[in-house]
Amino acid sequence: MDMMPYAFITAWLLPLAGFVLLVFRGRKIGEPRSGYLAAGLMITAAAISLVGATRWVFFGHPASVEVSTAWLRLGTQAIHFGVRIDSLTIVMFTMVTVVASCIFIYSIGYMHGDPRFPRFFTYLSLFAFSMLGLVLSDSLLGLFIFWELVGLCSYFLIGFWYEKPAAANAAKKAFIVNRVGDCLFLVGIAIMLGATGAVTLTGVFSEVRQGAFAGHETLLTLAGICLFFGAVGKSAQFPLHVWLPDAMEGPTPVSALIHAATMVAAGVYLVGRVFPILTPTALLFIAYIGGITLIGSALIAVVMTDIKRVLAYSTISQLGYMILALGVGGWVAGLFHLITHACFKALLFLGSGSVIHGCHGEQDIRKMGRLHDKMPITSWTFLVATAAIAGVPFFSGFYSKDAILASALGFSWTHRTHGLLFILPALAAGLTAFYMLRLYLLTFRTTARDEHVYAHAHESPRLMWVPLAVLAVLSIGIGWGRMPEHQAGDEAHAAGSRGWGLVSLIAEAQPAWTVSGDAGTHGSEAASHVASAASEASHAADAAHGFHLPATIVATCAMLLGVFMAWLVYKLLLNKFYFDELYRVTFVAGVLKLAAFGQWFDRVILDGLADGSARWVARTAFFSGLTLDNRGVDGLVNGVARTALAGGNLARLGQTGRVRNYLLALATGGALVVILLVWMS
Amino acid sequence: MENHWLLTGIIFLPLLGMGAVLVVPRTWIRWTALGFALVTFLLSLALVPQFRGAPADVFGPAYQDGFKLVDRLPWIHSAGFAIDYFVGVDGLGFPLVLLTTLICLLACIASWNIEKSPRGYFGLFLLLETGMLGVFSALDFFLFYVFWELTLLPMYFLIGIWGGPRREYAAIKFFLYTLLGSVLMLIAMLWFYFASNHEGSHTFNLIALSTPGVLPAFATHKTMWIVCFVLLYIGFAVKIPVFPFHTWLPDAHVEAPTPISMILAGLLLKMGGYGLLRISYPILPNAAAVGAVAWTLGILGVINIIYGALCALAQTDFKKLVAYSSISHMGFVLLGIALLTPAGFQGAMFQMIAHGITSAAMFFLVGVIYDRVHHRDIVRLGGLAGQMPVYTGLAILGFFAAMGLPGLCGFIGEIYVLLGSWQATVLGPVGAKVLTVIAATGVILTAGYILWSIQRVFLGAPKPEYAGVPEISRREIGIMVPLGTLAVALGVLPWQTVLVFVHGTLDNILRLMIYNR
Repeated sequence: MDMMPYAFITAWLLPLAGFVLLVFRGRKIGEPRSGYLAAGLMITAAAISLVGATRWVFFGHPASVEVSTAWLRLGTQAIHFGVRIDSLTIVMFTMVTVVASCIFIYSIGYMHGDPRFPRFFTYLSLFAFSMLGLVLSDSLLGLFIFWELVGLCSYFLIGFWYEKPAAANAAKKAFIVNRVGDCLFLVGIAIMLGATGAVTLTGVFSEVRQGAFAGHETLLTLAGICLFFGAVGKSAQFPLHVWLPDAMEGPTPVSALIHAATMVAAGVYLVGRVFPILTPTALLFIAYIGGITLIGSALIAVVMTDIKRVLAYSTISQLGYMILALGVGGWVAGLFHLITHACFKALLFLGSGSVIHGCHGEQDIRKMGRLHDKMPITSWTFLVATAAIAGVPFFSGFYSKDAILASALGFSWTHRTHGLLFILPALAAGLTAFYMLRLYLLTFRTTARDEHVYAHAHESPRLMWVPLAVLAVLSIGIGWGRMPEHQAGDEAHAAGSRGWGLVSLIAEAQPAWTVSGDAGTHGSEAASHVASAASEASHAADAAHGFHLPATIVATCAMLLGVFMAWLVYKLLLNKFYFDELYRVTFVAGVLKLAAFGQWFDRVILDGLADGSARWVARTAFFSGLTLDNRGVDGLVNGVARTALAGGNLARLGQTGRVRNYLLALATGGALVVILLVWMS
Repeated sequence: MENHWLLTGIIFLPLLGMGAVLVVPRTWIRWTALGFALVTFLLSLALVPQFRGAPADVFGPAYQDGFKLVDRLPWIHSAGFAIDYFVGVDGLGFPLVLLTTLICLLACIASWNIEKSPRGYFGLFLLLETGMLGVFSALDFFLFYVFWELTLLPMYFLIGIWGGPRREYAAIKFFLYTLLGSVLMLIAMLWFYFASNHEGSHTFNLIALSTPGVLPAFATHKTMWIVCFVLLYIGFAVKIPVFPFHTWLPDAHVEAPTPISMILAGLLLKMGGYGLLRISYPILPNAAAVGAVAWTLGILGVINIIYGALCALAQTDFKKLVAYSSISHMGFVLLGIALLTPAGFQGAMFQMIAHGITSAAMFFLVGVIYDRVHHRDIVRLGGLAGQMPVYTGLAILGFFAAMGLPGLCGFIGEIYVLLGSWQATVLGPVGAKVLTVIAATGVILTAGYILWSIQRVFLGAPKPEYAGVPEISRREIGIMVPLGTLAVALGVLPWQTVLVFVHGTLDNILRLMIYNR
């Protein structure tokens, strides 16, 4: 077991080696070989982590393993750079390496012929290194460092085709919107360090547990919300989600890896990691942000016509599910959905990339149709992923979404005032099925609406469809398993029924102690009605057991309704060229109105707010930088100078040489010194 | 005390080089200057072993014990004055001496294509190096003042003769500002001298002046502390530069030739921060701990951060943009110093070194473009990434290091200052936290102007008018490689590369204050 961390550290450093090699030798290594090099290193890392995970699962393991080394001292506080491995780390690490391997291989085909082919793999390798570092980190500071680095890679990759102004703009927007969240993340770290003197997660938790915030529960809530805002930026939650749809300007494998499977999920991972210190109020805040996000973006996804934008809004919506799950105390459910979503959403994006590749860059689903004939493998795998995200029974998404709905129902059942937290995800489950099936049908079935696109469409090369097949298998089976019947850390029931599969592995890492779970007994000052109510909810995981059946029924009904609606539209649409008109006459119109409102709100209000604040900053900048600094501060200076000059002109009659001016000043100064010295002594 | 002569050798070698430059044949001038800059740099590396070891052994129990390589000779001992030639370095001076010799070496290489009277240029250049090295190692206030003024003269001519179109305006502005600051510093210096009582006589000795009890009159007169502190502060604030004394900086940078901008931003600004830490705080520890003083300094630091970043955002002259970014970054130094925490002090010192590296890199990078396209209008630039990929890569490294990306040097300074100032107690329970949050929003603005610049200069479709622009040359890469390497090394191993050498001295300075934790 001692070798465990070092195996993972080795796997972590492999992509870094790839990055370093490609930075300096990328152009020499050339087009196909740089891709093979990066992919080879990634696959090796995946193999190491799979072996490690197998060992971890089947040969017994401690709750967590930590390795750290002294890095620096901040003032008087020693800061270590460390790695912490528990079951969640193992799951995340393996997921990232496996999904990344698929996407690296796929990219060799997808990026074929791009003039900056080696550069692409340089960035991808740096990204993999940073993302794995984020997963391994044992401290808030370490998380923050890699958090910024994945953001940097995202910036480079969104703007990979920087000749396009839209791509360059999207990259900049993504980075700056994320920085807003990061700024608050940093404040959260400062609060934690100030109050507990620690930055490692375990150190922070134990200090908080011992009452570092006793009497300052509001500050703890604030700290939790600040940390959460880091996640709001990175995981594209309302209101900082505006960057993600634009980020689709990047190459599609990037959208799959970074903007669907891994980086955007980092926010959810962060919330999962800091979960123990989140107060009930903070959790409630988080739950509502997740709820707003998931319903709003699901509505917008209904009306999108760009294949990647549908998926982008769908990603935001699914991330909202995860955030909501964590907010209502469904820790396992949220992180479980993170993993299943990573598989099927990566598959969806790679499928869309295959479609775009096969249609020579066309992204508008109104111009597609009947592509099933031309690209059957892409079509079948896409259908699998659609079933998974829609929540069709026996597909992975079904299990994780069901777990989330069960947690939400459990929470709403005990807190009737927060019924919305169940209604929103249930509604969105129906919407998800609808917009995904709509996407599938419009792309692969119905009629070929653009003869030109259809005529030239072709299946993608093997290098691209093999990863699709691997991910399709994962999208089906990854969710199979059973929750253990007992709570983590609850030794008394350890002998009870043992779970199996991914969900049970995640459940092992569930924090045994949380502030909110403890609020009723410990922080009595903070025990408002919200606190005491939510304290039970943090154990929604066990409460959820009783709610699985109703939740499953609701979810399945919603899904079936969505499928039925999509089918109806499809049936009517079969022989029609335009479907927008059709939408208007069916009763879907109501939903569409809402969706249009959502889109309007997103584009006009939220984006307007983002752009408006940017414009406001720019205006302030121009005022301070041009008017205030030049006319105000400098004007004052020049005014003084002019006055002085008027006097100086009198004094320097006949003199023009500047050196002489200087000497004169020096002489005067010297004389003053002598006078002063004499006078003072 | 035995004299080592090593430090004295480092300080005066460039002066010797100036003499050599003035007499060698015309074709040898550049190589002579380079040779002297190089040997000075290599000699300064010999300082490093002096600072290895456990902090308690290296820096001693008190601030006054931490000085190494001390050289002391009587200089002016007449008319009742006791002025010594007295130099030495501790954790504060040593990294800055090393930074000076390095940046001067790189700036000397960057000066290779100076065609206008190279003899004068390289002579003044080396004189400037001696001046700066003297400032960072003088331990006698009078000597400090002499070296301080010594940097002024060559800088004035280097901007005024080798500068851009408005060089004369910029040079005289720079000169007047600094002169104003020095006059105020001079008053404080004399005040200290005549108020001091060190073993029965007056003294300019900076170590003695920072020993409690040497300034008996100051112990009882709070007004005297404050007045002297303000006089000194304005003197140093002009150099840093602190809002509202900063307007000389953009003009000076825009007009100065590239290598001089590297020195100006990389080293000269550090003299201000160094002065605060070497003179103001150790001699007047009680003044620094007065709430109103800390508030003022902290607020000015935050204004520098935010205001500098906003002004940078508004610029269309690439070099002016970088100049304003220096103002913003030096704000972190001010904030870190003002709030009197160990982490803040360390952050401020680190930020000075980091900014010395990144600002030199950024000004150099701007100079590379200017040499090729002969303008700096950021709006007219664009699409250079396609034409100059290597240059773009190096530039992005430099700019991201300045932006404070983790893993690069700018990050450490900023995060130390922010996390340190959050814990400060000198402003009461809430004050420091408010300042920290405002300062933290600066990182958003910084990302804004850096990314916007990158977009406007490098990204977008290649422009036909820059089609034939040559890629960055080997000599230019040679300048960027040490800076880039240091940016990464300092970002990844901040403790081993910088902080281990400086924290002992900084902790000792803090211990002089009432408010030490």
